[in-house]
Amino acid sequence: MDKRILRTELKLLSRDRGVLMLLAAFACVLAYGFYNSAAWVGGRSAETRQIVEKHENFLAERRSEVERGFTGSNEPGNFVANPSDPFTIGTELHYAVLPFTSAAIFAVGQSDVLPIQHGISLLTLQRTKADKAGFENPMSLMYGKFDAAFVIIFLLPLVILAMSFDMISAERESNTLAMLLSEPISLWSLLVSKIAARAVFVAVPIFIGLIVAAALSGAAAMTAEFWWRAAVWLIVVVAYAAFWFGLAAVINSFSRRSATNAVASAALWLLFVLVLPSLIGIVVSSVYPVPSRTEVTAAIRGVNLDMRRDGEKLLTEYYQDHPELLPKDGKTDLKAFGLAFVYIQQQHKAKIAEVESRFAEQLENQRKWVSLSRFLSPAISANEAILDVAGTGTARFVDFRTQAGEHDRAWSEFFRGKVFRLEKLTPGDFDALPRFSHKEEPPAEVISRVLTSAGFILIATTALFFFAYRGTRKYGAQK
Amino acid sequence: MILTIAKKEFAEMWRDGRFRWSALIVFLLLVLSLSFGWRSFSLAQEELRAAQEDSRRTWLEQGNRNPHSAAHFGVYAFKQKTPAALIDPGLDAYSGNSIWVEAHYQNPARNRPIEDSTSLQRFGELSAAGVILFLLPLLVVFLTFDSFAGERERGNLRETAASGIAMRTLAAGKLLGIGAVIFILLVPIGLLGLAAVAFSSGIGAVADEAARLAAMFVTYALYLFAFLGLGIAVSAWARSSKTALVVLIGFWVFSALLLPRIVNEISAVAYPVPTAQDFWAAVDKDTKEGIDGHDPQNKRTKELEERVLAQYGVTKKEDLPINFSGLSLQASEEHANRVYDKHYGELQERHRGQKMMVDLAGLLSPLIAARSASMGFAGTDVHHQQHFTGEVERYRRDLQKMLNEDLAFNSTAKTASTYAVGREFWEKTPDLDYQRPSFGWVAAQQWLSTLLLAAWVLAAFGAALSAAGRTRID
Repeated sequence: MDKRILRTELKLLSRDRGVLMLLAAFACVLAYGFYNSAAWVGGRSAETRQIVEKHENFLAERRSEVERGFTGSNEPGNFVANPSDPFTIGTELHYAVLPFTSAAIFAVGQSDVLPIQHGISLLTLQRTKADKAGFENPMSLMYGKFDAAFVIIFLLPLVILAMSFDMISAERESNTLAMLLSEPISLWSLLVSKIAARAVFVAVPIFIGLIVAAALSGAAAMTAEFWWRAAVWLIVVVAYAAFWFGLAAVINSFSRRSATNAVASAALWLLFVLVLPSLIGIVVSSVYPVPSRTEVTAAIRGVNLDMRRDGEKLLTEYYQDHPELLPKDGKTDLKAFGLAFVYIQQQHKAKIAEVESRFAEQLENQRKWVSLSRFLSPAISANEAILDVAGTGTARFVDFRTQAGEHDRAWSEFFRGKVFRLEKLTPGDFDALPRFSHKEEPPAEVISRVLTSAGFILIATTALFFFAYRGTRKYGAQK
Repeated sequence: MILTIAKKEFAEMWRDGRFRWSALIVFLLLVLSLSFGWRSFSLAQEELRAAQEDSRRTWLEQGNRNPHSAAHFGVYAFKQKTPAALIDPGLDAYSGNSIWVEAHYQNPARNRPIEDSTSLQRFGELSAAGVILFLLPLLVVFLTFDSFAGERERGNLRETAASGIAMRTLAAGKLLGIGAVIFILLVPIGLLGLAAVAFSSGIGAVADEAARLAAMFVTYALYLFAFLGLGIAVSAWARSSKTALVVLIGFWVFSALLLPRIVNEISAVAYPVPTAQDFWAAVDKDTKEGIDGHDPQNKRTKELEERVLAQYGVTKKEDLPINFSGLSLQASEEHANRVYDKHYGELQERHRGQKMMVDLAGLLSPLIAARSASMGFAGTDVHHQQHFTGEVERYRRDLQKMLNEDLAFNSTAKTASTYAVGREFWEKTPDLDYQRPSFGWVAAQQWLSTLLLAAWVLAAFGAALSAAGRTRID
């Protein structure tokens, strides 16, 4: 690198109105992206807080009713369920919630299509309001959120390429290249100095963005978690930017016209950012097609049981198979609607779990492929890494789905015995209810995965600069 | 003269190796997208068809049941793939493909395929429409950015002017010549699309879809011609071919990447969609204020009871020759239907409002206009989704009415608890026979996007001619 060239370039860039406007626009869209994510995360967090609170209040009220000895009301027109009835509490729909990480502002990721709340009930979700959701406009989901990850993955490369596709060719076209090279500088150090100057300029909006992100995150930004995640994010962004500078260096190392360089830049951007990811996506989903959810539906309907018709017979058989579930006095209520309902619902649940596990397997296969495919395009690796940092990647959601499923089974387990033994809940039972809290993956694993991606991008970048170096040795200064 | 120039442009372009290579790559991508897309498309097509048949079979074979138990068992409606969805899957991955048709509830469509996919899919699906809408305009840009600026740089413009050819004539010739190249490029693409549709859905489908497929073809042609005009206009206006290229790519980025997402964010703020919790809370509130079939003591039921008792001239429900709970269930369905019409109506209006905002942004982005039209004609847009959910709901209401009336008029209070019907009755219930809306219906919705596209072409061609008239020849 040549210090004089670097200084001159910095000065030239700082007087180039086009470049300054481009960078200002970039800083604005990055800030807008952070703003959108912050609004999204804030809105969703408030919703989930509300639904969790609602259930906590419900439980607290029922518990105090049980303490007071209230047993519900059968008064005509004013039916109130018995709060000590395990059926009442067990079938009350509530949600396991996946909290956003403190760094969720870095990417909306999959959180607009994958649920951050999972219904919990003794019943199948089909029988609850949890399965009567999804009022978002499919069109908005298709177009996608304008978040900071979009700005980094799609737009940052364009800004870098726009600033650097003609670093050398413009000098040649204005006939200044030969003059420059008559000084004791190599073409290589000219190129590297120019890139260094541009990198300094590109860093400015990124840092502004980071400050905006911290400001918008509010209290979340006061945590250590936010800052380690932000630091890892910065590493990924730097590596990703370096890759595109490397590509620009290669493009500049061929002595072609500026216009040709621009075409090449645009074509490579298309290849890495649009074509490869969507091509790999379509290949993966064609090699490991996830069966459509129609199978889950079929599984539920396969259990064609009817409470009115089959209830008594089913319950008799069930008690024979599970004598431990008989009430202590041996007297049960085979005509009880609730019992047959719970029994049938549990059968459905078992069937659904079976089909779901096959889904999960196939999705896991797909994800392994995606994980491998990130080595084909830095856009994929950077995207996966940023989603990982933000905690909005597919893996965390799949993990959440599994944990919520386990919690749902624990919830059913807690109530099933009590329902069939016709027991009543005590205040102590309310305190012993299973409660959900999402267990996070250890930070070290997230960091190592993200740094692997960043490392790959840097290796690819090194290779690019090497090619560029070889190219500059063969460059023709005159044309 | 124009024709001569057009012929020269055409021949030049055709012989250009870069053009051939990039056209080949785009064509290859189209083949790839169609062949990979075909596999998941036909798999989904098969699954959805089988699931629909399965739902009917299970319904017929459910055994003897009380009609209201059957209403709770319900049937499923699956949104079938449209043949043209192979070319433009549009919202297929993002909208629910199945609706549970049950008593008391108008359920939203569930099971969005995107929920079972990886983050890669969020980069966009590589569909044929994707290749045409995103990549082909860039090919057009690469073909045109040099058209004036490059000739000027090489000194050709001066010579052309010296030979007495007006710059406008030159521009017209270029529009015609390069336009012919684009058109010739589109012909094999169109044939490829036709072949893919015929291959995946049968020759019959091609005939049924002829109008839609033709409209899609016209949409793509208009869209690319808009970029052709813009390319030549910018090339004539710009000082150098480098500037022309940067401006054109910048416009592409704006219209294909930036604007769609920005408008999308704005439309979500302008027409907020309620959360599921809020939606159902509002529905429940309105339902409770009215009648509830499972709670026969409230005011509405009482009125109904009095009316029915008077009608049959008895004093107790038990003495009625019919089953009162059947009537009560139907009355509560009818009240709920009004509640659903209100709330789902509002929701769908919001979705349409969002779509309208995005469609209007087609004024600034030809990609948005073309994408809307393409999805619309392919039958994979918001309007088609709403048409499907609307028809399924109509079916649900008819089915509920039939089940409730059977319960009401074929059983009494005494026989109610043991009353059941069997296969003979299930056979009489209608099967869901969803018919996609006609082409006329689609065309009525796509006038805005089509008009915007046509306006883009006219404006771009006009700009090309006017910029050429003012271009500097050196």
